[in-house]
Amino acid sequence: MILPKNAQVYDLACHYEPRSDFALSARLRKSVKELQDEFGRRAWMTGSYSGRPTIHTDMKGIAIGTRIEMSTLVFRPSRRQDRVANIFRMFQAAADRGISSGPIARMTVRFDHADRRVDLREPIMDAFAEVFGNPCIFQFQFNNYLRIGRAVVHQELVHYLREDGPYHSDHQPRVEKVQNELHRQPGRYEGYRYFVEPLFTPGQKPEVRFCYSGARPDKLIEVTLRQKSEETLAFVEPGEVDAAPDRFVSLADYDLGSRRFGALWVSEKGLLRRIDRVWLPLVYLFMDRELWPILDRSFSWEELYARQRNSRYVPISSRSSTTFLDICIERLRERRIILADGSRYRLNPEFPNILHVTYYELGEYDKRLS
Amino acid sequence: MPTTIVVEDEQGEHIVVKRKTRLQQFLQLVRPYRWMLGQCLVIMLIMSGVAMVQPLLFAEVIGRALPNQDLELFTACLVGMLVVMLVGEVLGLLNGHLLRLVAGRVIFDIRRKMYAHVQRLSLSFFESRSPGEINSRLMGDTASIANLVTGTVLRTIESVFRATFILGLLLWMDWRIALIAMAVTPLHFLSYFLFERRLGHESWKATEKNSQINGKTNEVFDAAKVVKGYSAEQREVKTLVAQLREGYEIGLRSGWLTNAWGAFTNSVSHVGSLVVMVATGLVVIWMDPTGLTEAQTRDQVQQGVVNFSAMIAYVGMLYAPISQLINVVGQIIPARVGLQRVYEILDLEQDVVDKPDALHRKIKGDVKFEQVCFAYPMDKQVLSDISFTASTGQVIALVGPSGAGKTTVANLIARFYEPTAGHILIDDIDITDYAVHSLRNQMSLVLQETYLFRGTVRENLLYGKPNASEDEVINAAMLANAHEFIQAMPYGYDTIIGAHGARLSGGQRQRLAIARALIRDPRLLILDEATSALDTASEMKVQEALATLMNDRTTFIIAHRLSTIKDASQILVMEKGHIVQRGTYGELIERDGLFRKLYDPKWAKEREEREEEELKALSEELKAGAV
Repeated sequence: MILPKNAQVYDLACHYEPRSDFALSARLRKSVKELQDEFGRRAWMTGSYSGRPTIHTDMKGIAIGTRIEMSTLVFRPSRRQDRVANIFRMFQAAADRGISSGPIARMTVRFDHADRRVDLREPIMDAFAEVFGNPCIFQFQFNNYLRIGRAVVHQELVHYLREDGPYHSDHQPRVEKVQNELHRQPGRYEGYRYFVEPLFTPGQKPEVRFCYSGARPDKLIEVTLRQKSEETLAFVEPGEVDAAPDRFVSLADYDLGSRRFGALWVSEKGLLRRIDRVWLPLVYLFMDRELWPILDRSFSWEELYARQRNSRYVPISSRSSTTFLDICIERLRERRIILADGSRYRLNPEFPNILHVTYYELGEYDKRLS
Repeated sequence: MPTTIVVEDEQGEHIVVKRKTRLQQFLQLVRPYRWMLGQCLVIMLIMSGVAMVQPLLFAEVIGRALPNQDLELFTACLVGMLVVMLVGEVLGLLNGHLLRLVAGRVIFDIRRKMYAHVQRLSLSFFESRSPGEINSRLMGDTASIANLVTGTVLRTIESVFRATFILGLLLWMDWRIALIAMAVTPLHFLSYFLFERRLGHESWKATEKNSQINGKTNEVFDAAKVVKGYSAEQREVKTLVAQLREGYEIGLRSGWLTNAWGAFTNSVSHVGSLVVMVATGLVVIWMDPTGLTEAQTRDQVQQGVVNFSAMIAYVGMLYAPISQLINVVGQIIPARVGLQRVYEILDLEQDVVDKPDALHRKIKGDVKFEQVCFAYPMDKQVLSDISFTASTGQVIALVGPSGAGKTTVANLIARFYEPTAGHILIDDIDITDYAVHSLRNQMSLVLQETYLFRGTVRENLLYGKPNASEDEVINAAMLANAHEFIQAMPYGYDTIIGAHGARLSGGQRQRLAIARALIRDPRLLILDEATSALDTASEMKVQEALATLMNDRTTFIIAHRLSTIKDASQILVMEKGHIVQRGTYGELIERDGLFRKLYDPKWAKEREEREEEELKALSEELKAGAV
């Protein structure tokens, strides 16, 4: 279908948390009709879904979840945020009115070149903030299909690779130990929030200070945790935490941010991509001896291969493998960590701005602090 | 030929590397069968040529034989068509057989090569990849490469040849009609851009989903006992149903796209045929008979009808190879991925490589660690500054909480990994100077997770020493306290035990594993939680047997049970990759520290109670406002 230049179609879907006793009753169908009357808008047969909200059921594990879908066609760029916000409100209303199987679990959006078009993603981010009060992030699924979620930003990727940022893997077992103790006897530690304050001197290994915050200091908590986890907790006034929230990191976030195993999420301009740690050695080939990224130089395949053979970051078994290098180049090019310049390769100039983050589904984000 | 490149390493030395493209890797695999593939190609081309004759014969029947009531021509054409069909079928049969032969041999070659290569790889390879993943490469990806050989490549050549041949024929018959027929082909290519990417995504999703379903079913079947133990059968069914349903929906979408693509290309072909039909038909209808006799006009019309029939048939045949050519691109993608995945494994090298003059000698069993450190690449330090000495006949126990680095020490002794710093000496010679096989032939490992192969008890015991005599087998079983229960089995040593030794109890499996280790009469014996599944009585018997055996060999025991380590010559207490305490049981149990915390329950309990009392007192003081 030929559309005017500025016309844009957004296909949005919302998945709700599953419930074992959920069924699409006549009452629910009637409520969906009301939603359609209230929020529906003609989409002129564009998009993957219709311009009216439609409800579907998905079987998930031992329970049934629902999904509500709707497309919107926007002609004027200035109206994009409003229209998308309208759909978000409809998703929210469905959960509030008990039409869905449960609270919102995740959302997806589909439009052409979604991974490249920052200008088309921005109205969605703004609409999300307008309706839910928080910024969202997009997880890359396909070129035209993104998942809307939340993320905790840890640090720049380069600091993760150098391990010279506020997060350090040496502290991860300590944090895990404290967390385990908090979970072991939750009653004893109730009513307080627990943090880590990274004491970060550039160029040096960071230190961490374990803190807790609440109505008043609790000597019992301090002594117990010192005995059980061998960590000393310092009391921080709630006002101090609220005044400088960036200074303190929750235990769960520090644990995830300092891990050197599992999936690695990186974010570039609000778009999240997953990097397999197996491919990370290639990034080190684009770094100098002090592990600073080399941005002003491109490398030929041969140069990269020579570096790979001598890199201590590449597993011994793969150091001579040409296929390993080919695969890593291919995968990291797909994820825009490196760019091809003819037959030469270089780091994405935006590399210093790429962030190491942890991705959360919408329904999971707030649970991480509980 | 692969591109030869010279790279300079950090020491300034030049290294010659052969870099192969995927195509070169592919050609290398099929090179031994090039003559057979050539034969296939020749047969395919003959088949294509033969298929061209049929429309001509058909056109003769329609255009000449029937209007002229010429029985002779009619019969000749029909016989000709029969011969063409028979020749086509026979060639098809031959070609199919040859293709299967090549495909079978290519698959056989790759799987043999890959399996042998994987066997040579170091332990780190198996630790970083799941068996399912390796298996999927060995079985699935190799098959996709074979499909590329037998299906895609030959069909592409045949399609190109057939399309060129038909086009030439059409141009020869009437160049104007040929151009009209070609006019719609860009629409075929347009369909590629319309559908390929979407279909590609759906296919990728379908593959991913299938692999998830495979993984899930494998996991559930492997853990059948746990699933049943937790009465989770229905839950697992529902989980799988959800995944199957997602797979079904993806399948529906990809099926719809495939059908839509097919319908689009067919419609384009039909439109093309229709346009050609109109053009050739009008040539006949609008033929100007001025200046021609009646007979000449009749002949011209007849010739027009023959051309009409032949061209319609040829145009129909022209579009098929074009569609096939477009589809080939979609078939190449999974095969290319398969090739890459296979070569990713074939390119790997061993982590631990023998030196050119590696020693093959009998060892005495003295082991010395000198400031040994170890870290996995891009990971934190697992062992730091580990030093100890173990003399022949000594039993060294490694104790400590999980993740302390005990098993890593054992892995370094077995030379599954090389230390990142420091030295390991065996009989005062650096471990890296020994040939790996020579060293491992003189040691035995018994792990907590005992793996027994599907086969008889005897076959499993002989795995430790294939040329062992019957007496050696029985002796090892007796030492491991396994002889008694083996004898009680229906066929004794010839009883078949299921995969993983599923028909045996945990203790029985472990005793067989110990017997398998003892049959080798190793100089170094490593027991990693080897007796943890034994009951106290069995463990005592095995301990007695081991005590005798340990006399003239060096034994490393990793254990949590006090009874297993109590008599060790030296106990190394490890925590977070360091040795935090060392000494005999008597010495360590007297000292406050980690060992006492782990092995003196009374002391640990008293300490905990004391701490709790202190906390209680503190809590009360806090309530009273004293602090």
